[in-house]
Amino acid sequence: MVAASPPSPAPTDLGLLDGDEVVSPEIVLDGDGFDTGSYPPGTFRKIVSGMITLAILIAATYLVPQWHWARPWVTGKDPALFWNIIGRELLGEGQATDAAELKVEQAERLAVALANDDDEVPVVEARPVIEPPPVAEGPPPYEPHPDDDEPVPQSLELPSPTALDPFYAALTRTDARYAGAVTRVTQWGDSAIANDNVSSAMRFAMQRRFGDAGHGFHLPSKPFASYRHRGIKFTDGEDWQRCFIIGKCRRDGHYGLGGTVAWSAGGAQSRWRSEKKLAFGRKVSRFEVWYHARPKGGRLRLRVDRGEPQIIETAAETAADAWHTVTLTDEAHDIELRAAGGGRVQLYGVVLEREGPGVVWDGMAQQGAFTSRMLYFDPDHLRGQIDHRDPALLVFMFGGNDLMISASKVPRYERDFAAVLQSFRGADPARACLVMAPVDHGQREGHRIISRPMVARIVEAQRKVALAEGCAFFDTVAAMGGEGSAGRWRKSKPALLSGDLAHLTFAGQKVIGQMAYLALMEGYVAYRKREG
Amino acid sequence: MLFPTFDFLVFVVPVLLAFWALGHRPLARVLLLLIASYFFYMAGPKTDPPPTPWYFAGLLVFSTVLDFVCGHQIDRRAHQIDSPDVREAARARRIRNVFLGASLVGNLGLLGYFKYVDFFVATFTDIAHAAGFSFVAPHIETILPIGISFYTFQSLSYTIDVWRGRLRPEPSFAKFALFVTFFPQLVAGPIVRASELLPQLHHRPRLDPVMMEEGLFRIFKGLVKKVVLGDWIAAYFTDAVFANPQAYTSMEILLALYAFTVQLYADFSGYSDIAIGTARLLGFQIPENFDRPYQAKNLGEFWRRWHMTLSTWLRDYLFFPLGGSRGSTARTYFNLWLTMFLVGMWHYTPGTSWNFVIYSNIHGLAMLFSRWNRTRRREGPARILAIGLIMPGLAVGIAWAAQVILDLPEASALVCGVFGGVMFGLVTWLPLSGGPINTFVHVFITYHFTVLSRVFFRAPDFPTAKSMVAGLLRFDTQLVRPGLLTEWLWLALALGTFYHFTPKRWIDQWVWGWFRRIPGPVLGVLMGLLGLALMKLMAGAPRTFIYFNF
Repeated sequence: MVAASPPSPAPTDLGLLDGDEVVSPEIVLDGDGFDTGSYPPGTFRKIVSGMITLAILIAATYLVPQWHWARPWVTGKDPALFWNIIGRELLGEGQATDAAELKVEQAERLAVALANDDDEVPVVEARPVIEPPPVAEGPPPYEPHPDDDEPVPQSLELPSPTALDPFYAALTRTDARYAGAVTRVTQWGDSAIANDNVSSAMRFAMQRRFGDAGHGFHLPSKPFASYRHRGIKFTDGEDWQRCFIIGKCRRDGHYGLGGTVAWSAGGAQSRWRSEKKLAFGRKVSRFEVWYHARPKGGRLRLRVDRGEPQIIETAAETAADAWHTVTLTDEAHDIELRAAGGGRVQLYGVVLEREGPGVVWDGMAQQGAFTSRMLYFDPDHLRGQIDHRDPALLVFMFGGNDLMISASKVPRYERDFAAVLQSFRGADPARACLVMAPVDHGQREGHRIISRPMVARIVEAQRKVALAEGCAFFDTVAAMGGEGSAGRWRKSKPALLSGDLAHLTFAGQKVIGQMAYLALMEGYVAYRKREG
Repeated sequence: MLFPTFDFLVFVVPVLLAFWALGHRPLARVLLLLIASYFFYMAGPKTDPPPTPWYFAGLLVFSTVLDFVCGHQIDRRAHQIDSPDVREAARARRIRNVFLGASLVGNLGLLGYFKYVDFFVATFTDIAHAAGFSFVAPHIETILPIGISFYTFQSLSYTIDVWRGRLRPEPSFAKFALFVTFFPQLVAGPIVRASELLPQLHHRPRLDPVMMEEGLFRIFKGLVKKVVLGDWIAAYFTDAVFANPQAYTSMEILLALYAFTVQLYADFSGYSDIAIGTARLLGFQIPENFDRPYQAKNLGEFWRRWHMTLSTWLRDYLFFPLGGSRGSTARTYFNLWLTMFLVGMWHYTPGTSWNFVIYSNIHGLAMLFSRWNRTRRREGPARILAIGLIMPGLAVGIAWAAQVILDLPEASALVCGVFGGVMFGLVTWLPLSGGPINTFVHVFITYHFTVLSRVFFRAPDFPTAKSMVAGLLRFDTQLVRPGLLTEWLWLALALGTFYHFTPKRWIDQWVWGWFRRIPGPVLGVLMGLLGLALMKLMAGAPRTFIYFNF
């Protein structure tokens, strides 16, 4: 037993560790104390009357229909009471929650891995380029790739097992390192791909595996301030006049492959330079100008590496879309294109490519685009543009803006979406296509972030149309973890969704790009095994 | 389970009624509370992210059994340590130490694994990389069992007190298990020591009208704090700023720090109020956790008033056993720093990287300064020397640290250094006590020290913390952009800040006196309205308490 010393009054500002230790006497724990058997009168009067009043008020919210808004708990809407045991275990909701959490953890791990992935270290391709053998011989047997062992967070949904075969056949030739075997993919979308992060993630992943065949299509002028193409230092002056498809500014529906037209009677200039830090797209060996030739068309002045300028005449007897190709040495280049007077020039874009074998992934975004805006294209013009580009796969990632439509307009939305797919696939319905659903969009309810109710409707509409039109479908929302993933991706570490709850962060964009790439490759491996 | 939820209301009312009915049956009331406590721990509402799975209650059982057994084994050898047989005494001491060690290793090992393993791995990796070694860290992702930081310290107090001979072991396993799991304070404190709660379990709970009113008052007060000042401000302002500080001006970041200061106090002291109030309704007294901390005149006093049950726990079970302030000056300062460092690191949240190391050291070093300032010679040239010699060096040191650790630009780091130096000079120059102006300045500086250091407490990771400091030191000319805060939020912020500096008697006497005069049915209506406000303000889903993360 230690003797107790009575504590002396301490100064009011005494610090936590300023005083001396006060030792209490040993405490003995024994018995259950003295019990008179009753509580003092009135002990429970106030609290029990309060409890009864509260119970009556709560009951009233269920008994009086007009007071439904005040109900503290609503069957079917609110989670089960004592959810951790009743909902999670007894009602089996834990599995869905755990699966969603698992998806987020998977995405987080992917984000960390991608962040550590060095896009700046060039990939050395050890396999030589070979001449294509006679058709009857077929490609060499499939050689497994390390990515084949990566878990696939979300598989593609296919209308038939052969839906992407034209794309995979092209990819097989590229994979076999056949000379000149370039596999082109052209992707259109809204702000989800506006800064080229989703598309560049897929481009880099494909090029890392199959070879770098260049950047692909690039717009002649920025349609919006954040437009960029990863790996290209692009500058354009203010002198271009521009028209974007979402503005429905051309009666003829000629918006070029990227949905943007730039024109000038002279003085406007754009410049493309290879970004030397990145592993991909450092070199360009083919530069192609896409324009509209017409009577009284002006001149374009093209300069490569500050050398002698070349003049491209855009004047023609009849108006038609035209292309001018320049072959370059396979290295980094600094390319300027200027409207040099003599009339008005009208540009659709440029292509920066290499001879291959390799993959090119075009990323063309229209910020704020509703899917139906793509119907403003003149079908013949669009078909001509796509035929010239000759992509093995068309990819669409719209829907973020479509969430604004009301639920009653969904049937019309489905019709429009189907019309867009038909219009882009044009005369060649065998051309493979992939529809990527929009990312989950959230809205705040108090501190909670819930998925916007239209997300599920739009995703379902896109799935229905894509499969009906023979396109593959990638359920981006399911890949993120399903309903509620906007909140989870916002709170993930690193944050994968930005504060507006509609757009992915840089890390999130790379994750979605990688997920889609893994889904495509899962199908590719299946194709190669199937085709022997 | 979260207090401000419908689940808790549905849970607590039957438990209270049953407990009052069984109040005269010692075994029944203990078993009832024990079962209720485990249910409370396991049956939480759906939150985002989801609560820890119910089977994590197994850790509670483990801690309970371990400490119960260790306590008894330690006590069994207590009389042998004074044996005249030296060998027997030495053996007894050894065995007692082994059981104490088992309790410490078992409890702190679990805490270390679940709470700090990612920190240890990350630190090791960072150091290895800094030393030039290539090292791929294993990915270890643990789920932090809710309340582990609280019940670990709580049950450790039992074995340590038994070992120190200040407490006899608890004979009843059921009572001991209830002490470890007592639901009002199980998941977020206050940390109740064995010597505070176990004796109460050996008496009939004290139930009388005043106790009931006190309980209701504390619950009411806690709910108001939590809902209005805690959740609301967070949901509509602070969370957004801390999520993306680059998007906000310097003044907005500073405002977010003030807001977080209000929010953190309201959140945690609100929880403590509800815990204390619920315990009172069951007839138990559990210790206070806050005593108007922002009225403190120095940092030592602040930590005596903030999360008192943790800071005094570490004082009594770490600082004093280390020798407290009885040893040499160097040893005293080391003990001080270590204690405050551990107080800071106790708050570590998995994933926050180096934030809490910085936070802990800022507070640890400030405590050293506080003690030095209180004990140094203040007459004659000592005062001038202290200011004249140390201040410039300190300013340079802070500027250097700000540049190296926080990657601040040179100009910002210089501002940081000068600010730190001037603050040091001012506090050193000021008399320790004096008139109202002196008190005001001391309180003002201490308050702002805690506000600014919260950057490292709240930021979700180190890069965000750095970004906030850089944002603060940008000194943007634009202040607070119109529309960022509603009038109601401004009002809540102003009232929340003002509340800190009001005399205690305003609440403890005046509001309490008013509350006591409210009839029961009116109280029921008021509680209903508060619940409705909670539902509407927070869309029915309150945030988990910040201290749940610890």
